[in-house]
Amino acid sequence: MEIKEKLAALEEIMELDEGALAPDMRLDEIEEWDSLSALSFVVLLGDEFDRKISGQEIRAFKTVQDMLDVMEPQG
Amino acid sequence: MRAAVRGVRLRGICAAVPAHVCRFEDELKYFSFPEKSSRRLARVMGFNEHRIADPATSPCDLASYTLNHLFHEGALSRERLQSLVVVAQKADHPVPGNSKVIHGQLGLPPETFCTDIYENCIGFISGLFTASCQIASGAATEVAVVATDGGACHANKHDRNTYPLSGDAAGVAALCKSDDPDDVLHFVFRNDGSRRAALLVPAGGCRMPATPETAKPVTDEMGNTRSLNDMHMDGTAVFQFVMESVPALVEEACAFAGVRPSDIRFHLTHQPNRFMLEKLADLLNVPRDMLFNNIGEHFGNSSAATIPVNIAYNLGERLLHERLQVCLSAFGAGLSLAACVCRLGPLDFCELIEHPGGGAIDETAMSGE
Repeated sequence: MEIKEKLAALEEIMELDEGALAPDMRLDEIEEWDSLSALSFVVLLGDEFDRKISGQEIRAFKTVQDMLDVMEPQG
Repeated sequence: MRAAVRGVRLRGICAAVPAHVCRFEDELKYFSFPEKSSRRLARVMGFNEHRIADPATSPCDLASYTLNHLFHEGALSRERLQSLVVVAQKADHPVPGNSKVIHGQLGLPPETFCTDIYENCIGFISGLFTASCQIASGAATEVAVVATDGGACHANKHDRNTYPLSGDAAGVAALCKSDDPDDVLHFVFRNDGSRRAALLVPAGGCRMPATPETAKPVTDEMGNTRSLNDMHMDGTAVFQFVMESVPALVEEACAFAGVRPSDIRFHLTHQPNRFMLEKLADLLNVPRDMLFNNIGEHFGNSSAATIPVNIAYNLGERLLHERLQVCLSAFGAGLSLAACVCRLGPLDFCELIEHPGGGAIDETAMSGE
């Protein structure tokens, strides 16, 4: 998945407009990054990348880039 | 464990919820989140209305009210009922157990066997298993499983993770001896105690007695507030557990019962939230209307009582006239899983009633004197 597609998927999860997210944005400054977005992210990783992630790992995310980094099939 | 229990029929279900309706709309103010975020969560999870008992009404009051209603209607009789299997995660008193309180409230005969199962989300199915074994052993011909729970009793009002979907309810299932060879209950149970921290009330038991210190509210990094006396839920871990294990459990239960998964007319599940149940229906590859997900939004998650509430609310009329192949399934604290594949109906009774509030009804009136 291209970076652009990944960002679009994250925008969809957070119900944001297209182009609203950039990799260097801090998650704690995005109002839409909440427990529902986190759960939707868990589903996305499972469905699209066959990948499991823990709540603890998600809570450690600081920026959008941290999310993009795990959007790969499990190595 | 797997068990096929023969010669037992589930002959009726009745559930009671508190009449007073609590609305998410009025509770938005308890949460520290932007309203937009709470509303978005509400839309997906199904936060809408839930029923929470007033402080005067205990789990035993709800249960006794339900049983008493059935005695009055003639659906159950004090004399024929030989055993009470009571499932709850909250007790009226540390001593004696809820089943003894209910026995006393209802003035049941001294011969009645009373036992308590201290369980959570899968408790109703555990209760069915225990009760059906009593019948299959020949010890009893009629047993009532009573799941009475406060989903609400462990939730902190300021914890958006747990409170908006918590609810109180009691559910009664009457089981009796049957000569019909088709009356077989197929059970499958699974446990993973190593993952018990995913749904945990840390304080209030012997390991960490409740003190003023454990009652202090703490706000977590996501903005939810709870104390050590409240339910701590790792939503991600629970969600993954359910998605990973329930489809395999259902498949195993169907195979064990000799039923094709496509023969199951309804999946009658525990009711945590709409989001999880929609995903579960998709994973089971069944239409979403075959796996009801509406109990959370109307009544809340009452832990062990959700399956009887689900059945009474969604299939109450239908099960009075029809016989349906169903799969009951439950998942949650433990972490535990349970399934029961059986043919359900036509039932002698199947209804949802409301408890008016204000605690126990007069005990003399209850015993019918």
